[in-house]
Amino acid sequence: MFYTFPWLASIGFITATVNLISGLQLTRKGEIAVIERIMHRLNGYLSLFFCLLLVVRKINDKWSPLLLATLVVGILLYLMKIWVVRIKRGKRYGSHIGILLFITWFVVIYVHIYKP
Amino acid sequence: MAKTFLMVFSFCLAVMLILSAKSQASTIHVPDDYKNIQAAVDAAIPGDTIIVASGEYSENLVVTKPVIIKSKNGHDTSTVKALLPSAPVFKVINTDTVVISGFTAAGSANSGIYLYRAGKCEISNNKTVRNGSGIVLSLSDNNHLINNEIASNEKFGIYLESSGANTIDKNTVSLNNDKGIFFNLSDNNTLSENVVSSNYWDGITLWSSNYNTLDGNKVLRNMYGITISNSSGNILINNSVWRDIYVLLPVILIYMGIMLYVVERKIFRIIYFKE
Repeated sequence: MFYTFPWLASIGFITATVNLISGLQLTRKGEIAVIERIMHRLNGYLSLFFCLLLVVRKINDKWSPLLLATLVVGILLYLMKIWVVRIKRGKRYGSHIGILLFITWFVVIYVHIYKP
Repeated sequence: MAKTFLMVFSFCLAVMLILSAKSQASTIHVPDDYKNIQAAVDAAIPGDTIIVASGEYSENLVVTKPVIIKSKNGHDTSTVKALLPSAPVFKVINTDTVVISGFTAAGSANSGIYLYRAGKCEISNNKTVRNGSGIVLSLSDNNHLINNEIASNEKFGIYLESSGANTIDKNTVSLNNDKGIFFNLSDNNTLSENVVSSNYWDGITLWSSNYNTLDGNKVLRNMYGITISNSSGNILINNSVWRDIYVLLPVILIYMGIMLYVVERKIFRIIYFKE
Protein backbone atom coordinates (compact mmCIF):
# COMPACT_ATOMS: atom_id res chain seq x y z
CA MET A 1 0.00 0.00 0.00
CA PHE A 2 1.60 3.28 -1.08
CA TYR A 3 0.17 6.63 -0.08
CA THR A 4 1.27 9.60 -2.20
CA PHE A 5 0.18 12.42 0.07
CA PRO A 6 2.38 11.76 3.12
CA TRP A 7 5.39 11.47 0.81
CA LEU A 8 4.60 14.74 -0.98
CA ALA A 9 4.00 16.46 2.35
CA SER A 10 7.26 15.05 3.76
CA ILE A 11 9.35 16.22 0.78
CA GLY A 12 7.65 19.62 0.96
CA PHE A 13 8.45 19.84 4.67
CA ILE A 14 12.13 18.99 4.04
CA THR A 15 12.43 21.71 1.37
CA ALA A 16 10.66 24.14 3.71
CA THR A 17 13.26 23.32 6.41
CA VAL A 18 16.15 23.99 4.00
CA ASN A 19 14.37 27.18 2.95
CA LEU A 20 14.09 28.31 6.58
CA ILE A 21 17.77 27.63 7.38
CA SER A 22 19.02 29.36 4.24
CA GLY A 23 16.65 32.25 5.01
CA LEU A 24 18.17 32.62 8.48
CA GLN A 25 21.64 32.67 6.89
CA LEU A 26 20.71 35.59 4.64
CA THR A 27 21.96 38.04 7.27
CA ARG A 28 25.53 36.98 6.43
CA LYS A 29 27.55 39.22 4.16
CA GLY A 30 29.98 38.50 1.34
CA GLU A 31 30.23 35.77 -1.26
CA ILE A 32 28.53 33.17 0.95
CA ALA A 33 25.39 35.32 1.01
CA VAL A 34 25.06 34.86 -2.76
CA ILE A 35 24.85 31.09 -2.36
CA GLU A 36 22.41 31.37 0.53
CA ARG A 37 20.18 33.65 -1.54
CA ILE A 38 20.12 31.18 -4.45
CA MET A 39 19.44 28.25 -2.12
CA HIS A 40 16.71 30.19 -0.33
CA ARG A 41 15.00 31.04 -3.61
CA LEU A 42 15.38 27.53 -5.03
CA ASN A 43 13.97 25.79 -1.95
CA GLY A 44 11.23 28.39 -1.57
CA TYR A 45 9.94 27.71 -5.07
CA LEU A 46 10.37 23.95 -4.56
CA SER A 47 8.26 23.96 -1.39
CA LEU A 48 5.64 26.12 -3.16
CA PHE A 49 5.65 23.55 -5.98
CA PHE A 50 5.00 20.69 -3.52
CA CYS A 51 2.26 22.73 -1.83
CA LEU A 52 0.54 23.25 -5.20
CA LEU A 53 1.09 19.58 -6.10
CA LEU A 54 -0.71 18.56 -2.89
CA VAL A 55 -3.63 20.85 -3.78
CA VAL A 56 -3.84 19.48 -7.34
CA ARG A 57 -3.61 15.83 -6.21
CA LYS A 58 -6.20 16.45 -3.50
CA ILE A 59 -8.82 17.90 -5.88
CA ASN A 60 -10.45 14.51 -6.52
CA ASP A 61 -9.88 13.29 -2.99
CA LYS A 62 -11.48 13.79 0.40
CA TRP A 63 -10.90 17.24 1.89
CA SER A 64 -10.71 17.84 5.57
CA PRO A 65 -11.52 21.44 6.60
CA LEU A 66 -8.20 21.71 8.47
CA LEU A 67 -6.18 20.65 5.43
CA LEU A 68 -8.12 22.94 3.09
CA ALA A 69 -7.58 25.91 5.42
CA THR A 70 -3.89 25.06 5.85
CA LEU A 71 -3.14 24.76 2.14
CA VAL A 72 -5.03 27.97 1.31
CA VAL A 73 -3.17 29.84 4.07
CA GLY A 74 0.10 28.31 2.85
CA ILE A 75 -0.38 29.46 -0.75
CA LEU A 76 -1.46 32.93 0.40
CA LEU A 77 1.69 33.17 2.55
CA TYR A 78 3.87 32.14 -0.39
CA LEU A 79 2.26 34.78 -2.61
CA MET A 80 2.63 37.38 0.15
CA LYS A 81 6.30 36.53 0.61
CA ILE A 82 7.02 36.82 -3.14
CA TRP A 83 5.21 40.19 -3.16
CA VAL A 84 7.05 41.43 -0.07
CA VAL A 85 10.41 40.54 -1.64
CA ARG A 86 9.40 42.20 -4.92
CA ILE A 87 8.59 45.50 -3.17
CA LYS A 88 11.94 45.36 -1.30
CA ARG A 89 10.42 44.77 2.14
CA GLY A 90 11.92 41.27 2.50
CA LYS A 91 14.39 42.21 5.23
CA ARG A 92 11.67 43.60 7.47
CA TYR A 93 8.79 41.11 6.94
CA GLY A 94 10.44 38.11 5.21
CA SER A 95 11.46 36.33 8.40
CA HIS A 96 7.95 36.60 9.94
CA ILE A 97 6.31 35.12 6.86
CA GLY A 98 9.05 32.48 6.63
CA ILE A 99 8.36 31.30 10.19
CA LEU A 100 4.61 31.26 9.51
CA LEU A 101 5.21 29.15 6.40
CA PHE A 102 7.28 26.68 8.39
CA ILE A 103 4.47 26.38 10.98
CA THR A 104 1.99 25.85 8.13
CA TRP A 105 4.09 22.94 6.87
CA PHE A 106 4.03 21.47 10.39
CA VAL A 107 0.23 21.43 10.25
CA VAL A 108 0.30 19.88 6.75
CA ILE A 109 2.53 17.08 8.06
CA TYR A 110 0.33 16.59 11.12
CA VAL A 111 -2.82 16.28 8.97
CA HIS A 112 -1.16 13.71 6.70
CA ILE A 113 0.24 11.46 9.42
CA TYR A 114 -2.95 9.61 10.18
CA LYS A 115 -5.18 10.62 7.25
CA PRO A 116 -3.35 9.53 4.16
CA MET B 1 -66.51 -29.24 -19.49
CA ALA B 2 -63.93 -27.52 -21.65
CA LYS B 3 -65.15 -24.14 -20.41
CA THR B 4 -64.75 -25.17 -16.75
CA PHE B 5 -61.27 -26.55 -17.44
CA LEU B 6 -60.31 -23.29 -19.16
CA MET B 7 -61.56 -21.25 -16.19
CA VAL B 8 -59.65 -23.39 -13.66
CA PHE B 9 -56.53 -23.25 -15.81
CA SER B 10 -56.79 -19.41 -16.10
CA PHE B 11 -57.29 -19.07 -12.35
CA CYS B 12 -54.24 -21.25 -11.60
CA LEU B 13 -52.15 -19.29 -14.11
CA ALA B 14 -53.20 -15.98 -12.51
CA VAL B 15 -52.34 -17.25 -9.01
CA MET B 16 -48.94 -18.48 -10.21
CA LEU B 17 -48.22 -15.15 -11.89
CA ILE B 18 -49.12 -13.21 -8.75
CA LEU B 19 -46.97 -15.49 -6.57
CA SER B 20 -43.98 -15.28 -8.90
CA ALA B 21 -44.26 -11.49 -9.04
CA LYS B 22 -44.34 -11.39 -5.24
CA SER B 23 -41.25 -13.57 -4.88
CA GLN B 24 -39.10 -11.49 -7.26
CA ALA B 25 -36.69 -9.10 -5.61
CA SER B 26 -37.70 -5.48 -5.99
CA THR B 27 -36.38 -2.03 -5.09
CA ILE B 28 -38.00 0.04 -2.37
CA HIS B 29 -37.34 3.75 -2.07
CA VAL B 30 -37.32 5.66 1.22
CA PRO B 31 -39.06 8.07 1.76
CA ASP B 32 -41.00 7.75 -1.55
CA ASP B 33 -42.48 4.29 -0.87
CA TYR B 34 -42.15 4.25 2.93
CA LYS B 35 -41.54 7.19 5.23
CA ASN B 36 -38.92 5.49 7.38
CA ILE B 37 -36.31 2.81 6.83
CA GLN B 38 -37.75 0.34 9.37
CA ALA B 39 -41.13 0.34 7.61
CA ALA B 40 -39.35 -0.43 4.34
CA VAL B 41 -37.39 -3.25 5.99
CA ASP B 42 -40.59 -4.71 7.49
CA ALA B 43 -42.31 -4.62 4.11
CA ALA B 44 -39.37 -6.03 2.17
CA ILE B 45 -39.04 -9.65 1.19
CA PRO B 46 -35.66 -11.44 1.20
CA GLY B 47 -33.43 -10.13 -1.59
CA ASP B 48 -35.09 -6.73 -1.86
CA THR B 49 -33.02 -3.57 -2.16
CA ILE B 50 -33.90 -0.52 -0.07
CA ILE B 51 -32.54 2.74 -1.42
CA VAL B 52 -32.55 5.56 1.12
CA ALA B 53 -32.51 9.18 -0.03
CA SER B 54 -30.33 11.81 1.60
CA GLY B 55 -31.50 13.10 4.97
CA GLU B 56 -31.45 12.51 8.68
CA TYR B 57 -33.48 9.60 10.06
CA SER B 58 -34.12 8.93 13.77
CA GLU B 59 -34.52 5.19 14.11
CA ASN B 60 -33.25 2.01 15.70
CA LEU B 61 -33.28 -0.41 12.79
CA VAL B 62 -33.73 -4.14 13.34
CA VAL B 63 -33.00 -6.31 10.31
CA THR B 64 -34.03 -9.96 10.47
CA LYS B 65 -34.09 -10.87 6.79
CA PRO B 66 -31.56 -10.77 3.94
CA VAL B 67 -32.06 -7.34 2.41
CA ILE B 68 -29.78 -4.73 0.88
CA ILE B 69 -29.97 -1.30 2.54
CA LYS B 70 -28.08 1.40 0.68
CA SER B 71 -28.02 5.15 0.77
CA LYS B 72 -28.48 7.00 -2.48
CA ASN B 73 -25.65 9.52 -2.03
CA GLY B 74 -23.25 8.07 0.54
CA HIS B 75 -22.63 8.56 4.24
CA ASP B 76 -22.00 12.30 4.04
CA THR B 77 -25.65 13.00 3.31
CA SER B 78 -27.49 10.03 4.87
CA THR B 79 -27.45 9.91 8.64
CA VAL B 80 -29.32 7.51 10.89
CA LYS B 81 -29.43 8.62 14.53
CA ALA B 82 -30.51 6.35 17.35
CA LEU B 83 -34.06 7.11 18.48
CA LEU B 84 -33.45 5.12 21.67
CA PRO B 85 -29.83 5.67 22.72
CA SER B 86 -29.74 2.34 24.58
CA ALA B 87 -30.27 0.33 21.37
CA PRO B 88 -27.97 0.02 18.34
CA VAL B 89 -28.61 2.20 15.31
CA PHE B 90 -28.50 -0.84 12.97
CA LYS B 91 -29.10 -4.28 14.47
CA VAL B 92 -28.80 -7.33 12.21
CA ILE B 93 -30.00 -10.43 14.00
CA ASN B 94 -30.32 -14.12 13.08
CA THR B 95 -29.97 -13.66 9.34
CA ASP B 96 -27.51 -13.90 6.44
CA THR B 97 -26.41 -11.82 3.43
CA VAL B 98 -27.54 -8.41 4.64
CA VAL B 99 -25.84 -5.40 3.03
CA ILE B 100 -25.61 -2.05 4.84
CA SER B 101 -23.83 0.57 2.80
CA GLY B 102 -23.32 4.31 2.76
CA PHE B 103 -24.75 5.52 6.08
CA THR B 104 -23.59 7.57 9.02
CA ALA B 105 -24.71 5.78 12.19
CA ALA B 106 -24.55 7.98 15.28
CA GLY B 107 -25.88 8.63 18.76
CA SER B 108 -26.26 5.14 20.25
CA ALA B 109 -24.78 4.35 23.65
CA ASN B 110 -24.76 0.71 22.52
CA SER B 111 -23.26 0.56 19.01
CA GLY B 112 -23.52 2.01 15.54
CA ILE B 113 -23.89 -1.32 13.71
CA TYR B 114 -24.50 -4.52 15.65
CA LEU B 115 -24.46 -8.00 14.10
CA TYR B 116 -25.76 -10.85 16.24
CA ARG B 117 -25.74 -14.38 14.85
CA ALA B 118 -25.39 -12.93 11.37
CA GLY B 119 -23.36 -14.35 8.48
CA LYS B 120 -22.10 -13.35 5.05
CA CYS B 121 -23.17 -9.74 5.59
CA GLU B 122 -21.42 -6.81 3.95
CA ILE B 123 -20.94 -3.60 5.92
CA SER B 124 -19.33 -1.08 3.59
CA ASN B 125 -18.70 2.65 3.14
CA ASN B 126 -20.36 3.58 6.42
CA LYS B 127 -19.32 6.07 9.05
CA THR B 128 -20.00 5.31 12.71
CA VAL B 129 -19.36 8.17 15.08
CA ARG B 130 -20.19 9.03 18.69
CA ASN B 131 -21.66 5.65 19.64
CA GLY B 132 -20.84 3.28 22.49
CA SER B 133 -18.86 1.18 20.01
CA GLY B 134 -18.58 1.60 16.26
CA ILE B 135 -19.26 -1.85 14.77
CA VAL B 136 -19.91 -4.91 16.96
CA LEU B 137 -20.04 -8.54 15.79
CA SER B 138 -21.28 -11.13 18.23
CA LEU B 139 -21.50 -14.82 17.30
CA SER B 140 -21.28 -13.77 13.66
CA ASP B 141 -19.16 -15.45 11.00
CA ASN B 142 -18.05 -14.84 7.40
CA ASN B 143 -18.96 -11.16 7.31
CA HIS B 144 -17.11 -8.49 5.34
CA LEU B 145 -16.42 -5.04 6.79
CA ILE B 146 -14.86 -2.82 4.16
CA ASN B 147 -14.07 0.86 3.73
CA ASN B 148 -15.84 2.09 6.86
CA GLU B 149 -14.85 5.15 8.84
CA ILE B 150 -15.14 4.52 12.57
CA ALA B 151 -14.28 7.43 14.83
CA SER B 152 -14.88 9.06 18.20
CA ASN B 153 -16.81 6.22 19.84
CA GLU B 154 -16.94 5.81 23.62
CA LYS B 155 -15.47 2.30 23.72
CA PHE B 156 -14.19 0.29 20.77
CA GLY B 157 -14.02 1.06 17.08
CA ILE B 158 -14.60 -2.52 15.93
CA TYR B 159 -15.42 -5.24 18.48
CA LEU B 160 -15.64 -8.95 17.64
CA GLU B 161 -16.92 -11.38 20.25
CA SER B 162 -16.98 -15.11 19.52
CA SER B 163 -16.99 -14.40 15.81
CA GLY B 164 -14.90 -16.12 13.16
CA ALA B 165 -13.82 -16.02 9.53
CA ASN B 166 -14.72 -12.37 9.11
CA THR B 167 -12.80 -10.09 6.73
CA ILE B 168 -12.11 -6.56 7.91
CA ASP B 169 -10.24 -4.43 5.40
CA LYS B 170 -9.54 -0.87 4.33
CA ASN B 171 -11.31 0.67 7.34
CA THR B 172 -10.19 3.81 9.15
CA VAL B 173 -10.49 3.44 12.92
CA SER B 174 -9.48 6.53 14.85
CA LEU B 175 -10.00 8.60 17.98
CA ASN B 176 -11.99 5.99 19.89
CA ASN B 177 -11.89 6.26 23.67
CA ASP B 178 -10.76 2.69 24.33
CA LYS B 179 -9.32 0.21 21.82
CA GLY B 180 -9.38 0.67 18.07
CA ILE B 181 -10.05 -2.94 17.07
CA PHE B 182 -10.73 -5.60 19.70
CA PHE B 183 -11.01 -9.35 19.00
CA ASN B 184 -12.38 -11.27 21.96
CA LEU B 185 -12.61 -15.06 21.63
CA SER B 186 -12.62 -14.67 17.87
CA ASP B 187 -10.66 -16.95 15.53
CA ASN B 188 -9.68 -17.12 11.85
CA ASN B 189 -10.46 -13.51 11.03
CA THR B 190 -8.53 -11.45 8.48
CA LEU B 191 -7.61 -7.87 9.24
CA SER B 192 -5.91 -6.13 6.32
CA GLU B 193 -4.96 -2.65 5.14
CA ASN B 194 -6.75 -0.80 7.94
CA VAL B 195 -5.54 2.51 9.32
CA VAL B 196 -5.87 2.42 13.12
CA SER B 197 -4.78 5.71 14.62
CA SER B 198 -5.06 7.96 17.66
CA ASN B 199 -7.17 5.62 19.77
CA TYR B 200 -6.90 6.21 23.51
CA TRP B 201 -5.74 2.71 24.46
CA ASP B 202 -4.56 -0.14 22.17
CA GLY B 203 -4.65 0.10 18.41
CA ILE B 204 -5.44 -3.59 17.87
CA THR B 205 -6.02 -6.14 20.64
CA LEU B 206 -6.34 -9.90 20.27
CA TRP B 207 -7.63 -11.50 23.45
CA SER B 208 -8.04 -15.29 23.52
CA SER B 209 -8.24 -15.16 19.74
CA ASN B 210 -6.36 -17.61 17.56
CA TYR B 211 -5.32 -18.04 13.92
CA ASN B 212 -6.15 -14.50 12.85
CA THR B 213 -4.23 -12.79 10.05
CA LEU B 214 -3.16 -9.16 10.39
CA ASP B 215 -1.74 -7.92 7.09
CA GLY B 216 -0.66 -4.44 5.98
CA ASN B 217 -2.34 -2.46 8.75
CA LYS B 218 -1.08 0.97 9.76
CA VAL B 219 -1.28 1.34 13.53
CA LEU B 220 -0.22 4.88 14.41
CA ARG B 221 -0.29 7.09 17.48
CA ASN B 222 -2.16 4.78 19.86
CA MET B 223 -1.15 4.24 23.48
CA TYR B 224 -0.04 0.69 22.51
CA GLY B 225 0.17 -0.62 18.96
CA ILE B 226 -0.82 -4.28 18.65
CA THR B 227 -1.47 -6.27 21.83
CA ILE B 228 -1.83 -10.04 21.72
CA SER B 229 -2.75 -11.89 24.87
CA ASN B 230 -3.69 -15.48 25.61
CA SER B 231 -3.73 -16.21 21.88
CA SER B 232 -1.82 -18.43 19.48
CA GLY B 233 -1.31 -19.06 15.78
CA ASN B 234 -1.91 -15.45 14.72
CA ILE B 235 -0.03 -14.24 11.62
CA LEU B 236 1.26 -10.66 11.45
CA ILE B 237 2.64 -9.48 8.08
CA ASN B 238 3.69 -5.99 6.90
CA ASN B 239 2.01 -4.05 9.68
CA SER B 240 3.40 -0.59 10.50
CA VAL B 241 3.26 0.26 14.18
CA TRP B 242 4.49 3.77 14.97
CA ARG B 243 3.37 4.82 18.41
CA ASP B 244 5.16 8.18 18.52
CA ILE B 245 5.03 9.01 14.83
CA TYR B 246 3.49 12.41 15.62
CA VAL B 247 6.64 13.44 17.44
CA LEU B 248 9.18 11.37 15.52
CA LEU B 249 8.27 12.13 11.93
CA PRO B 250 8.69 15.95 12.05
CA VAL B 251 11.99 15.50 13.96
CA ILE B 252 13.28 13.07 11.32
CA LEU B 253 12.15 15.40 8.52
CA ILE B 254 13.84 18.44 10.11
CA TYR B 255 17.02 16.40 10.51
CA MET B 256 16.82 15.41 6.83
CA GLY B 257 16.25 19.09 5.98
CA ILE B 258 19.44 20.09 7.83
CA MET B 259 21.39 17.34 6.04
CA LEU B 260 20.02 18.48 2.68
CA TYR B 261 20.96 22.08 3.51
CA VAL B 262 24.59 21.06 4.22
CA VAL B 263 24.79 18.99 1.02
CA GLU B 264 23.19 21.74 -1.08
CA ARG B 265 25.63 24.34 0.27
CA LYS B 266 28.59 22.10 -0.56
CA ILE B 267 27.31 21.61 -4.10
CA PHE B 268 26.75 25.33 -4.65
CA ARG B 269 30.22 26.13 -3.25
CA ILE B 270 31.75 23.70 -5.72
CA ILE B 271 29.76 25.21 -8.58
CA TYR B 272 30.35 28.88 -7.72
CA PHE B 273 33.75 28.98 -6.02
CA LYS B 274 35.27 25.79 -7.46
CA GLU B 275 36.29 24.76 -3.91
